Amino acid sequence: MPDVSGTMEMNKSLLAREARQAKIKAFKEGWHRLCQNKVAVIGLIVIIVLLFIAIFAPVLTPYSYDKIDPLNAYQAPSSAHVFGTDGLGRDLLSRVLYGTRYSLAIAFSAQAVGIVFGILLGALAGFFEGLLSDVIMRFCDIFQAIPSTLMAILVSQTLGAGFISTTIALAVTTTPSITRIVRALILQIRNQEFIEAGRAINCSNGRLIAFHILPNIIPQIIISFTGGLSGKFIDSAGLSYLGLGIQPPTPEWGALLTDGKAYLRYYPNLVLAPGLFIMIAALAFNLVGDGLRDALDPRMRD
Amino acid sequence: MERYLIKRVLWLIPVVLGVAILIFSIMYFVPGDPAQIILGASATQDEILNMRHQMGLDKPYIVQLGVFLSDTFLKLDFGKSYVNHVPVFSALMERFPRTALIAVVCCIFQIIVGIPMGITAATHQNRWQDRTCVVLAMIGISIPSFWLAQMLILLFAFKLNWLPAFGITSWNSYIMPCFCSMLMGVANQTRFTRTYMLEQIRSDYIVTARAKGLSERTVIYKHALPNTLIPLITGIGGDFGAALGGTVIIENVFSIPGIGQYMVNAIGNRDYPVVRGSVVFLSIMFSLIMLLVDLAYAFIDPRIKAQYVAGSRKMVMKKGAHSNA
Repeated sequence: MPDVSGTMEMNKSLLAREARQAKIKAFKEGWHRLCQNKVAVIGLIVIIVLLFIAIFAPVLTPYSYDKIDPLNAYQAPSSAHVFGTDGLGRDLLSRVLYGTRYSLAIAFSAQAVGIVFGILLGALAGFFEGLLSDVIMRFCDIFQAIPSTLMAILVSQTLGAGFISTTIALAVTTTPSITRIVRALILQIRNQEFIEAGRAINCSNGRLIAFHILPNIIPQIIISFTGGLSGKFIDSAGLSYLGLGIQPPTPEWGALLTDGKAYLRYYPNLVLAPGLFIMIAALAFNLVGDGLRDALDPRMRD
Repeated sequence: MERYLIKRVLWLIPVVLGVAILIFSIMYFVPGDPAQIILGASATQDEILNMRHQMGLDKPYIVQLGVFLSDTFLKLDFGKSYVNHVPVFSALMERFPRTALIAVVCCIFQIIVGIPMGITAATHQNRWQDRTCVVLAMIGISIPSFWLAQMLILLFAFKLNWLPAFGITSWNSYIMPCFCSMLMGVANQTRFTRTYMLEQIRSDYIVTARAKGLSERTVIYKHALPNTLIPLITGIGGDFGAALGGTVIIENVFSIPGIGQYMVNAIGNRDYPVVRGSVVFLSIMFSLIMLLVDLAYAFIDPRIKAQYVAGSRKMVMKKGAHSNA
């Protein structure tokens, strides 16, 4: 008897190792395909640079982002102030570089919170048929009947300005669509044999979902995550523009745009610089998102 | 088929009610006392209590919700603005045409520009036509519309003096707002069309059509295009919603007196009935458009009909299985 169980143990560990290696191989292949996509690599480099700026902002900025210098207010771009200065004489370049921190943090956290809740609800709705699934999906119907910009505005004004409320306002608009995607994916795989096998060896539902179902939908989740990030940059800036979201004097890009909008006619550099950064960031994340989709989604392969 | 239509139309009622309840509940938790806001900081405690009683704010949540729902749906009464006491519904009706005009123009351009661009890109995959469309679409989805709006104002209104920067004076006041709101939609439509079209072009029935010796034109426009259009039509409803939401910001950049501007001003003034009414109104409009698109879709796509017949058969089978067990 011990002999048999020993062989079984060995088989099990062999199988596990093979499965792990197959997974690693799949990810390596995906990574390789991504690296062959030149445009995506450019996007990736831009994102790395932005992350670098966000982390080392205090070292990189030529001036402190909140140093007021009324004598040098409304300076045009020059060698001393590359993007010029704002109405209080604060160096715009320093403020924009510092803003990278806030804008990246908002976009990432909003997207992460929205996706985590989407996975949770989608897994519940996909795995358990019946009342729970119906209730979750009807809630999605109702949430999606409100245009997402309006939803974000509504939540943001209820919770007030600030980082956490903006994160929640943007996450609320992500969750229903992610819930739908995850549910659809789970419905596709929940009747496959390996799930049945899992049930046969008495896996709990939680274990089935966490260790057998979710790993199979990771590529699609990564695609949804990066695909939605650029929208979060634009939406969070939009909220700030309307006077919700992150408020001046915090140097978030949208808040900087808001600060500058009154002076558009005479000092367009105040609007130009932060807007360019929003656009570059959105572009980079879109490029990488597209690249990842092509690399990870088996349907997109030629 | 009739059963599908009736079911889809009836489904509108719980969704719209759900939307109204959701919006009411979110707004219920907005900090600040409406009575205090109306009366101002100088009001005495008694005046505030009196006002709260008059407005029904001292009643429990569920009663307030009931009053709100019956006012909104039975009397079409969206309440009155706290600031100028104008009924919200009449203000919305006055402003809606401008918002709707922008949203409708957006959707039209999405269809007449986005879809042809996507088809061109897909049928010329990896050639210069494809690359141009892909790059343009990529830029289109990456530009924040309100920033582009400011840049256009700077160029066409301040520097060149060709177009008015703010407000609505004549038809050319709509050029820049429409362009800014449609850019994202057109770019997205191009990308979707390209993806769906490529999917179709790779499928077996296209190989068959080519093998039969049909001309490339017939293959693309008679065989691939109809199948590409079907998922795109479902998207149009959602695009209209996105356009309605997008105009909120654009209206504020160009000071267009539409619902978006009304609503954002109200947020600044904490004029909650206006905010609530605007969101409920736009969401109902959105739901109606979604309904129309779904109904049109059911007529266009034979598979919906088939699916519904198959679906009801499946239900019968399932019931049978249950009774056996």
